[in-house]
Amino acid sequence: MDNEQIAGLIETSLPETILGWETTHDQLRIATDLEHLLPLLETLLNHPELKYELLSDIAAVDYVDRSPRFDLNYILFSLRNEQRLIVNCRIDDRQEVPTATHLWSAADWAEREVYDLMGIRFSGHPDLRRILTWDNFEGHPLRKDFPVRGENFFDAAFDPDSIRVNSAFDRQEPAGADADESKTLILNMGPHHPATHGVLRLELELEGETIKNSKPHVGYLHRGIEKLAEERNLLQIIPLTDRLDYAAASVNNLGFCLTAEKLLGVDTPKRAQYIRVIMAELSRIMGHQLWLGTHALDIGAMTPIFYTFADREMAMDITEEVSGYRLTPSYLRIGGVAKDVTPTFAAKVKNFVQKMKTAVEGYHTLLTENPIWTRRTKNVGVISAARALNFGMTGPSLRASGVPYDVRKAVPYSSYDDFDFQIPVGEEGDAYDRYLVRMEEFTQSLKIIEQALDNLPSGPFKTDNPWVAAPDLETVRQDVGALMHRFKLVYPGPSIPAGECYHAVEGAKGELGFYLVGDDTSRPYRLKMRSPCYYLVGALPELIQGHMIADVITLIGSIDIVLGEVDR
Amino acid sequence: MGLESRLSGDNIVVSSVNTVVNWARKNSIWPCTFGLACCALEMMSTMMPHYDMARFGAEVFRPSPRQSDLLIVAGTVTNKMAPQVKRVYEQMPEPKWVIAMGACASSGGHFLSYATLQGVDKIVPVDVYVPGCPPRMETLLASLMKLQEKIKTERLEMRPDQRLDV
Repeated sequence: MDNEQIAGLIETSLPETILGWETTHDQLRIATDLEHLLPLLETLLNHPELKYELLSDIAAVDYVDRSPRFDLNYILFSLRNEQRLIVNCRIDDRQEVPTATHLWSAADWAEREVYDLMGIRFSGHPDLRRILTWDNFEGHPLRKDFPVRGENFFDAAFDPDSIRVNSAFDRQEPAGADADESKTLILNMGPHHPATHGVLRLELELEGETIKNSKPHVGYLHRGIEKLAEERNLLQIIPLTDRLDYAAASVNNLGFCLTAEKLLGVDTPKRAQYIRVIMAELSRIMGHQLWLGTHALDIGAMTPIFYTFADREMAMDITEEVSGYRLTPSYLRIGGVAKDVTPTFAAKVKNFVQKMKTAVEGYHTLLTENPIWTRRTKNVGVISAARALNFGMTGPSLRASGVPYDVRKAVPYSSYDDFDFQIPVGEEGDAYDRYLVRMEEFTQSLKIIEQALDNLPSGPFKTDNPWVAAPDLETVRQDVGALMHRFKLVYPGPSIPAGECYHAVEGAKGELGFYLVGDDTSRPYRLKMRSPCYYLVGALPELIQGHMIADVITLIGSIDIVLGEVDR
Repeated sequence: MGLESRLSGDNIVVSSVNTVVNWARKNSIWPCTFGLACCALEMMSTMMPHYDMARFGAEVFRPSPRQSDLLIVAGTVTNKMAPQVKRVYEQMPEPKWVIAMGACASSGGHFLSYATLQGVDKIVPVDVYVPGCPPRMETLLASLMKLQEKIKTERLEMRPDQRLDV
């Protein structure tokens, strides 16, 4: 079904609930009001011909001078129609929005984030607390009237003890004779813990050694990237995106650049698209290598990490050769890449692909049939396809449950439809399947890299669209007009047209999306990042419930989270 | 091999306590496993086969701060994380040293925002600052050697250690 048919279908099945619809940047946007929001969402989820089962994100935008003040954008995806829909609802400062947690579990964390950063309250939400900032934080940082640096930023004194993060469990000692029977223990794990892959903190409610309930605390790496993006131009934001999922940085660059290009209406030449694909897949491999090494180390297998890190260095060298930096390359630009690949690039990548093919076999030998490994991972953290989708899980963690949703296939971008590759899916949805899916992704990524390299077109590596492409330095030295042009593009940056769009790519961890709002200036009005890891952590309590403490380590590893992306 | 191969026979070595203790301390710096952000990956790469921090006696990463001498603050310290960083530092026994790895830990780096602490030196004393975003492994190794040089110049009474007072 195309966008118009879907809009027609919604209009006929729910007359009077939608205020209007439009297709901008190939995306269907439906406007509704607060009163009809919940019935509309319910229909979108449950209608047999629509089935928007994945709530990607809720992007709130603050139009401070407008009344009603806020825009809420529910970004939904229908696997049935492979189509994305944005439901827009305007609300006022004081209005409460009915919660959607009973429709999508993902809404739980999405709404908490909106509450924390924007100060919009959701009525009926089971646990509306701050999530990224701390509990005694004053104000809501993403509101436009909140200064980027906060209040009293340059005060020399900072008292770490003034920061409060309260326990998520409301502990009241049970009274009466049967108090002993219901006694549980709260165990705190993290944020400084070697197996939480960063600064994740979990509060576990234990009964013996079994986990009855758990509450993750995130935000220990909340650096305010979304707020910082609002005072930077497009070129300056690219390095910020590197530091989201720093294990696979080029994919983040790709996601952001594609979003900006979509809003600006810039096309990239074929060669640039292929180079981008190679870089994105290389970074996916690097991300998976890091995951494999640390995941195995957590479970007790020491050997794999030495192999994966040694192999990872090869990919790092290639990244360094083309971009000048290893971990945070910032190689992509709006409309192309920073510079053309080096002459030795192709040979190095070929060599890497050859070596990796053997290396992946080696990883399989180390782990796949290893009895300790299979016992630690099989039937641990089983999640059904429907539940995983409901929690907003994407990427390999969702595919392990049997849902073949991969943004590269569902909504192809950057010439991904030119390549022949498969989407590995699991059956059981346990930690072992998540492991197998990622292992197969190594092979598929290598396959894509090989094809992209063999068919790498010649031609320009950057667009010549004057809105984003600056004249080269040689021309600048000869021509004062070119000098001004370059200055305008580098110093204030390219102007972002008024409008908004969402674009998602398949990051190493799942659907990585950017919601970009422009207002005809060179700085984005709002940049919302849809982080796959954020929703994976949101699903963690469901995964670890009923398991032992040792399995928590397995499961944190098996969903492959990077806290830079969770907290932003 | 080392010193001992040249000292065969009934020789004695005369040295000051300071020299011997510092020599021992500088060659067995145990860092705390404390990764915060992107820099943590480069810190891990430094331990791994290509760069092998073990060559400088600092490969024994301890998950518990109580067993470690060196806190490598690898990554952005946010305001929310600051109390924990301070606590980890306070849990470490003397003698202890701190390396602020990367631009964020040194000065806040990229992230001049409401949520980020502008340099870990606002909450713990820092011995060596390492530039880079993230620093390369060679840079981290150089900072480790810089720290070893610093340890060589220390005097025992500079450290407020309870056991020395007895």
